[in-house]
Amino acid sequence: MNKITDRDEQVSKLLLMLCKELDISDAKYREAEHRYNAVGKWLKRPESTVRAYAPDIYVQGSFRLGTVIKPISDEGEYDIDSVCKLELTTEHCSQKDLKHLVGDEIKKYATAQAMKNPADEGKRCWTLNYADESKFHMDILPSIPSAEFFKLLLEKRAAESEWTDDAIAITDNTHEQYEEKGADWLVSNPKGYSDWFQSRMVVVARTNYSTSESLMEKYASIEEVPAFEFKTPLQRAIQVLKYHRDLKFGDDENKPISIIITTLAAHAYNNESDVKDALVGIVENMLSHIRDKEGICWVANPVNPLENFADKWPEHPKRKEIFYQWHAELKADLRALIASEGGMHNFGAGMSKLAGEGISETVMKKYAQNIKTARDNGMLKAAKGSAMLGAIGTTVKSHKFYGS
Amino acid sequence: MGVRSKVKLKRLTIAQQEFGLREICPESECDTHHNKLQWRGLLSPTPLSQEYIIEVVYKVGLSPKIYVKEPQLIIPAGKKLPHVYCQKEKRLCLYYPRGKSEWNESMSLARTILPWASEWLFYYEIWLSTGEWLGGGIHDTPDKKRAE
Repeated sequence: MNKITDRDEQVSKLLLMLCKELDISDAKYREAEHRYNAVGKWLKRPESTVRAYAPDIYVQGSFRLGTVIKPISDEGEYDIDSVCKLELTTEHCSQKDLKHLVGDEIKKYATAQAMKNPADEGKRCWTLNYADESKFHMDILPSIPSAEFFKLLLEKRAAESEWTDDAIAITDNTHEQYEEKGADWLVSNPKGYSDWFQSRMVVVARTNYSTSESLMEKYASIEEVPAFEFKTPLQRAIQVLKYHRDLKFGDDENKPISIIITTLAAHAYNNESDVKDALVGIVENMLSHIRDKEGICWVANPVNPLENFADKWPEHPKRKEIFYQWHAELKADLRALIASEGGMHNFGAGMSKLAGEGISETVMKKYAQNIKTARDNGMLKAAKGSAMLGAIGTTVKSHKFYGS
Repeated sequence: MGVRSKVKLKRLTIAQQEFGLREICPESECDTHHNKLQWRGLLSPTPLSQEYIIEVVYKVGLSPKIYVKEPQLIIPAGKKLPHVYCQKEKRLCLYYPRGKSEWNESMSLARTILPWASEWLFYYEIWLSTGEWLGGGIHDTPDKKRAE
């Protein structure tokens, strides 16, 4: 029996158990889907003032990518990011027009649902606060289609992108042309980003789909599968990274932002099928995807080369500093965990550094429970050599530990 | 024939016990005398677990005694090692000693005591980490037995 591969297997197994503790349940994803679909239905109802503009509501952000993490504290909440796209043009509509067209209907929705809190207006979104046990906040981003404008923009700047079809234009109430018709709006492309993200894990996603009877039964083709169902090592690794970031820098306004973590991780991921390998590869390689353009750090939006996710770093140098500090700690904590020696309790201490004591304790207890259940069912064996517990060797007979 | 005879448990000899122990742990030391063996070997319940030197002292007619010799077991401040006969000697309580159902002299030490010792070491490390003994078992307190 090769002790090195056995140890690797055990570490991988424990890391996967750890990742599963950070994930939210499928039921939570479906609950979120139910919420934004309900808003979509509202916008399409006969009395809706936006009905004529073919409203389309879809999810974006971590709920779309399947990278949502459990809140660190019990009071923590879930942020669902959604897009509300209307078929309008900038000639006929100012940003303010669109913002309030959508806002009026959202406010009516909050009233009709007897929500305790009215809809909140943000710079670019409307926010609904569901004051119930679900602990959801939903951001609704009003937008209009903007593929043609985006393509022209890229052409003008001699830039290219494979993902332009779903580009949208969005409002920003601090924009200088906020109230003008015929203005240039900010562009975004959450669907395009999500397509790029999925392309980074396509090999494992395909394998996970084609080897899952339940997925193939639920979804006729892989294109129909929402990202959260794949649970690839990339998604799990991003959850570990975000959770670690929240643990160490959660309260800091200069903490690393999720879009940067997600983009760099996706660049560094190589379709590793094992979570340990994926984490190591991502952590070791993600920084190399930060580009330097004339002294400025660039984490380009993979679907919009004109957009730099790190554009706030020059005016907030603390953000750059904390980003590198966070990564250094992450790398050290992960390396220490994988190289852990001196017993399972030391591995537990290593898991605490990476994901906190609560998660570590839960994983250790579940692992121990698995061993106990195996013994109680007569399935636990002790192998020749050093009586290693597992599936090989002499069956561990039923007994009770005794004494004080 | 037609008469069912009561099955009498046949005690394993010292030589048979030694053979069994060496089979499970080829790298071990064993001293045997006429009615007694003293065995030392290395146990490690999982690849991530530490390796422990366990000593089994078995004298015919008495219960086997199992000790953890090395490394020194960690006893966190204010706590006591679970399921040991003696905190100082680190003698493990691996089975319910009364009656002959869990262990008796017809059983191979190698197929009972050694796997149970390995389990004890596994749950011990989990106990160090979580503060909880998750291997099950029972306590014997003066007036009552508490099941875990």
